[in-house]
Amino acid sequence: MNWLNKSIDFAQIKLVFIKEMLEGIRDYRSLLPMIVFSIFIGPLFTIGVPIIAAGQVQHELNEHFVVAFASPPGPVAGYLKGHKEFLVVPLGELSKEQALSEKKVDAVISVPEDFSDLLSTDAKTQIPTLAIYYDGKYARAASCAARLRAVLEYYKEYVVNERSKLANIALSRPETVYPFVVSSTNKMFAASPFVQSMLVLILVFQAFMGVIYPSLDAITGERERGTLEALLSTPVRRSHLFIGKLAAITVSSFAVVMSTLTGFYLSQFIQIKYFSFLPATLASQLDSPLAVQLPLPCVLLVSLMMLPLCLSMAASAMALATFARTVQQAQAYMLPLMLITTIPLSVMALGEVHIDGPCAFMPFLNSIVAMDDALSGRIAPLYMFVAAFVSAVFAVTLCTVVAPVVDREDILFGIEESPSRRFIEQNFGKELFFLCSTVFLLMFYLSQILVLKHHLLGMALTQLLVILLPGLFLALLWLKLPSRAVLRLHMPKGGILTLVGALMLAPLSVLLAGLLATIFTKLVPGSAALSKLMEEYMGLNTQPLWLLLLVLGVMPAICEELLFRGVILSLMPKRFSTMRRVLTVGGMFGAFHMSLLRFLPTGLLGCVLTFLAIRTGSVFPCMLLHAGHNMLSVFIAVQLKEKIGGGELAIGVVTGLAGLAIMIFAIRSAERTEVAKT
Amino acid sequence: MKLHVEKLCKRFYEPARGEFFACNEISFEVDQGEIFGLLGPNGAGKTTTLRVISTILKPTSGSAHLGDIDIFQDPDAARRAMGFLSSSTGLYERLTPREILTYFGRLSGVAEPALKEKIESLFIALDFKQFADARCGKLSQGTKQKVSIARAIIHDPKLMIFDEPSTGLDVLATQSMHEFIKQAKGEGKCIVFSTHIMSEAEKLCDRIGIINDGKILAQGTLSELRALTGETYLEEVFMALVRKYELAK
Repeated sequence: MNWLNKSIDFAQIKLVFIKEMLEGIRDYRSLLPMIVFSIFIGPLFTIGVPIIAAGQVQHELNEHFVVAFASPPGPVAGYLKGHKEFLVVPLGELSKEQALSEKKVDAVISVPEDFSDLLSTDAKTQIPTLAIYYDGKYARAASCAARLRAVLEYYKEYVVNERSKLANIALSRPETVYPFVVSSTNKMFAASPFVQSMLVLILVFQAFMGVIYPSLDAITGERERGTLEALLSTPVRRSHLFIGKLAAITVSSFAVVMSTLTGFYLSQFIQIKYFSFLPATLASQLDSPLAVQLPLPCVLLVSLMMLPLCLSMAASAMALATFARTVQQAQAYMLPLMLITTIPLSVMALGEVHIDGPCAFMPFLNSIVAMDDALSGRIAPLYMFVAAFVSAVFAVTLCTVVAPVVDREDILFGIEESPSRRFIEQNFGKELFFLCSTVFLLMFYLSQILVLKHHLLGMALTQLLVILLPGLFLALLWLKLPSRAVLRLHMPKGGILTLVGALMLAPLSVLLAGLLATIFTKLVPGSAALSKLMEEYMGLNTQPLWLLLLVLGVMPAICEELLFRGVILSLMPKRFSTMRRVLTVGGMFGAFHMSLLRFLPTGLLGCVLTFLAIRTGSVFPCMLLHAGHNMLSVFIAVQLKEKIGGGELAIGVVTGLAGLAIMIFAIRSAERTEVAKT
Repeated sequence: MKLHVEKLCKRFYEPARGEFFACNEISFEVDQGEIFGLLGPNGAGKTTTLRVISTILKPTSGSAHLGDIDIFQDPDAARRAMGFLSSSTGLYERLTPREILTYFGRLSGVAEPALKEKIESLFIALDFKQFADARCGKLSQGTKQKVSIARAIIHDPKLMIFDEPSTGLDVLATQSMHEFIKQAKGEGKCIVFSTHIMSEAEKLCDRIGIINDGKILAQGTLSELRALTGETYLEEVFMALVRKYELAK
């Protein structure tokens, strides 16, 4: 599909879009939960939660928990009288167990003998315990016990104070602990805390809900209904088909978001009405924590942020669903997408991430954090604009990446070429996409856990299970490709000299990476602390050097090179130029390290290694350079404690440049010999 | 306008079977007002051949021309001049026949006032005007078939491609499908038609191409095929050709 050669025919796109929308609107069974129910989510939460809370408060005001004392109550009885929610009754002839099981009382309190407002006689050896007994079978008894415990905690505080006074100990305690809000938030944009706590989460899930059905229907549905062939035999361009359908999915998602937002916006007025029906005392108790405030500018800002998010979700869902043979399969494919959606949500939930930082450049995450900030009144116009722009660019890029799915016979009709032929033509886009997403997801979930739990061993397991295994499995077992060719296990162009040159290049690459990391540390606050934490996790100061060199130096050089410069580079589409391959594989290599701090140095190293693999036709020089780079980095961190003098610097630069010269000489002479032979 | 297919190949791959050609150097010609039948068992390569000609699939090699149009070089122009219909063709159940015909008519570039007239004339010609504004999901199988036919010819194509159009239809629906194909022939359209039913091929086709294992084993009029094999009935002609091919293999 060539997007640039032909002009866009908006009439065709409009036709496809209108037809998709018409079909979607007529599907009442899907439309009802998607759009109509979405309006009710806001009122449901914002009225439902106060109703439950009002019930609780009402109970505390009007009803009693029945309690009895199993021992002389002392001054505790007097204290409880002040709390109207408890009705104290005598236990009479009944034992506490009987009274509880016959539900005569909700709880029984046992007060120790010396639990009084006098100084305890033997305070050092005997700690008096106020015991509350209740029957765990009954929920009412459990809540009574919980309330009693809370109330008696205050009493305990009072007793301690009294005792302190008697003992002549001057205790100066703050009377109450009360949080005062001092942040100067923009009232025009800030929503109330109750709305802040849930709106972004609900909107993101709603946006996702909005893409599911239409994306299943878009291509897989057409195929299942037998309309795809008829459609593809019309003169409609496939790119237009894609855009029209994508627009319909995006609009559907955005409509769900907007109806949810409308529901929340309206619910603030409904809630005021609801509160007016409540007794004033009740309403005032609910008002501050559960009140809904959602100013219109805030709604507009949030809806603006949701638009690129809806487009990205629509493109991802449509691409994923198209891979499925049936609508049922496609439904199953939506689950991983939903899991991915939860990642930025959990980052947002950390609460410390704001839009005015590097996160503005992270698609998906930036929209979510920007909305969260907007709702809490932290308006950073420039960063929010950057976030919206980056998200829009990301969404459009994603669309152009996934657009060819409607032009792929293997995806649409399951018609494949043989792996060996596809290897010659390097037509493995689908598998490559699958491999990269698998490794990325494994890196995010499995690897993080492995490294956090098992430190150095976790790192070794990551190399083997997350990086080496999926690539080898895909290339050798699944696609049955020739191993030597795919993994580039050949002698490099230029032979031994190239290998020696590659190894000698390592000190220079370490110096450059170090320089970049230093610059980055200065730019990004907290990155130095992060590096320190990583050092501790890897046990740089505790583990033996040989083990560190093996796990952090040799293993990544073998595993990562076989994956990136072997499988991934070999499966790259043939139409990619050398530059594009170098940048793509290098960029991926940087991104797979899952660290913003290390992205630039690792990405750059990745580019160099990829270029080396393409130029020499072999993975071995890459392994040597990679191993040299990592081992030297570890050595510098452990032995030299990051302190490099001028002498070492000079040696590094000279060795590196010499290595580069040797490699260039070796490769050029090998090429000259080749030309002479032919 | 004449359809000319030359050495058409489409390569497939299945892990269990390896590489194979679903259609292998298929060549034939169809004149205006002629029905050319591709006759072969299931899996012979009929559907793939027709899908490639109708530009749904891309050919591995070979060429196809419809008059002056190079079908594979200029697929947009080719699609405007051809209509495709198969037994598995479905309809959008939540749209009405009128909406479906309007959608496909516009996609095929039929100008607006002409499109309305064309749709009305198709309602009358195929006799389903009373269902014009009912949802397709509610229509009977026979009416659905009529809507599918109308959908395939809304843009008045010069070439009609029918992929086993009568599979799964009852006797009456099959009969009306045959009538429709004959009518299209009368209007001077090129018609390519695939079937595995011998009697259908015998009844409708002016010329028949016997296809098996992705290859056209022989082609010609029924009498030419009879003369070639020395058999009388098409079934016997077919078996004789397949046996000969198997022996040669």
